[in-house]
Amino acid sequence: MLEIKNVSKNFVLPKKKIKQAVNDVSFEVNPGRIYGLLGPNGAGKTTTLRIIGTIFSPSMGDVIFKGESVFGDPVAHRKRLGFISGNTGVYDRLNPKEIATYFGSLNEIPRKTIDERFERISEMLDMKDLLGKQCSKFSTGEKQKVSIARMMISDPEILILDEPTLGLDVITSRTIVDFINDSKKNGKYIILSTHIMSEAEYLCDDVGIIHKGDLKFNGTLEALHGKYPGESLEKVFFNLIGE
Amino acid sequence: MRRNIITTIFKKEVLDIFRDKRVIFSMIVIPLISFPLLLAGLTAFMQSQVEKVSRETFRISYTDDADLAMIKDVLKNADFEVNYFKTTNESYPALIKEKRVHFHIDYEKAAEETFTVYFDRSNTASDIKYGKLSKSINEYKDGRIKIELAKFNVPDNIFDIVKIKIVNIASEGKMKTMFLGMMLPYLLIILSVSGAAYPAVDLTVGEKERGTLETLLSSGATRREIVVGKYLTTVLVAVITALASLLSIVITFKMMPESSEFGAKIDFVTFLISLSAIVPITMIFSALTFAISTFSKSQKEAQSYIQPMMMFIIFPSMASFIPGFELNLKTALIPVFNISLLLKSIIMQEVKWLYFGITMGESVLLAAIFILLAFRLFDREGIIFKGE
Repeated sequence: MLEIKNVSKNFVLPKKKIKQAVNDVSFEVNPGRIYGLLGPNGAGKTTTLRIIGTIFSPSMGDVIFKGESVFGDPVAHRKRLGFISGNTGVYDRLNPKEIATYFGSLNEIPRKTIDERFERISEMLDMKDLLGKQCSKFSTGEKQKVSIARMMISDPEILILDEPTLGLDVITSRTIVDFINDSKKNGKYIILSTHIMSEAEYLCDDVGIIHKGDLKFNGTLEALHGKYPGESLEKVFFNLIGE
Repeated sequence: MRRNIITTIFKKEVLDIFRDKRVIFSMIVIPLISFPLLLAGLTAFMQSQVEKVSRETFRISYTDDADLAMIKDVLKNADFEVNYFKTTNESYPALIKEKRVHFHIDYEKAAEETFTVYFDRSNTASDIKYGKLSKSINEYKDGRIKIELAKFNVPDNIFDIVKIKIVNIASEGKMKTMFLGMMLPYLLIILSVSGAAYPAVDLTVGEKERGTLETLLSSGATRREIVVGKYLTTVLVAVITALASLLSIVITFKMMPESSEFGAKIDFVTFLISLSAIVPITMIFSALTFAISTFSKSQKEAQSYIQPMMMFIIFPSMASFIPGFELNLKTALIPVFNISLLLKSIIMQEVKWLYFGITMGESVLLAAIFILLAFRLFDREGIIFKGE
């Protein structure tokens, strides 16, 4: 189990002002289930995800994976973690395989395994036409496929997906959604941040609704609908954030 | 820090940056073509222009016909052709200003003879021509003196009664290397520092802007491994820029004609020592530009910090031009200044190894301080995600 325990994050702004980006957030992510972190822009989703990814360290609280704090050995934690966001860029002057090989090597995956996995992943993501080409001329959707290939090359146990379908066309979004579902079937720990309620409704088993750094709801999707019967997720979301 | 991870980052960054046409252009093409073009091309062009200007017909104005006769007499043996124009005292300044004549000459005979030559000295062509004109007038003057001396039976060689003999013990080769020793340190320092600037910016704040830094930070590499891998790439690019510049300068000088004052030759050992002396400065400025770029939130901001920094480098890098300075215990401790003087002493083959060691040690220490600063900045979340 991946546990986010009482995590808070403060940023020091100019003139020594403090901004509390995340305030005492706790939730759990279980294998083979998708945890949807929902919230408007600036709610604290990305900060929370970066703390889980050990890119940020929390001001308070901890992130526990399989009983151990991920901050004890952040490198080992990041090796089993795949991170992707809608704003993730790719290296324009490298081709998809070079990018995947680079990140696989950084996670100390043997070269042979990288080659085998890349062949499988590129087939799965239908990237045949992209291979061998530098990424500079790729569309947003094609670049997102490269990002997924880069992430999957290390076969991570934990997937952190921050608005992964942002700005993508319907067909590429479908590929990403299928990939998330496949990962769920493969028992991955998945945290999905999105503001697209239909996507959350379709994909998530558990949800957390975050607003201004506070977690307003944490539980299963069924529990959320049980609490607000007959209301759409979007309506519940607006009720909870008070707008 | 794991060597395999640093190597992976280094290899990727080298592959990535060498595919960037801008880097290839600024790192290899510019240094390789700029020196032959600037030095050989410009020198040859200037020489041909000087010859062309000297061969042109001189245009001289005068006001009095009596003056013309005298001027013609003075210039009768000159190795240039002259066209004469009669004008008035009111008109000749305009003629000179409009470049219709090169000179206006007045001749006056009283107790002594006076040639007054009017010309626009800011006009390079006239200035070059004046050299030839004054030579002719001086020849006339010498002739007149001889005639006057002869009247008193004074021998011609009276002016040689006291002689000064100058013996320059420096070989011709060394004299030519002197020019190279002044110029090369400045050029090498400036080019290798600018060689470091682009990759440092691209690999740090450029990566932030392209949205790939977050991915890299979420990988199995530590921040220090990332900094070291990227830093080594920056140093490599700067060293290659320095190597290309050094090669280009040495080849250009080698290709210059023996008679030219730029015709200095550098042997292979001097070449290698010069290159080794430039490495520490690339290390310092790669680390400094790396730290500055890490601190910046955009490439534009980084450039706005780096450009003024270049101004602070220009002066100490010109140490090789300043007379009276040489590498000693004090100057060996002044950053950049020491490298400039060290390079000069290497080229002049007067290197003192103690100061070589001090300069290198001080530079490596400075580079280490800046790289530690880059480590600290890279660890700061507020800085690495500045601007979000």
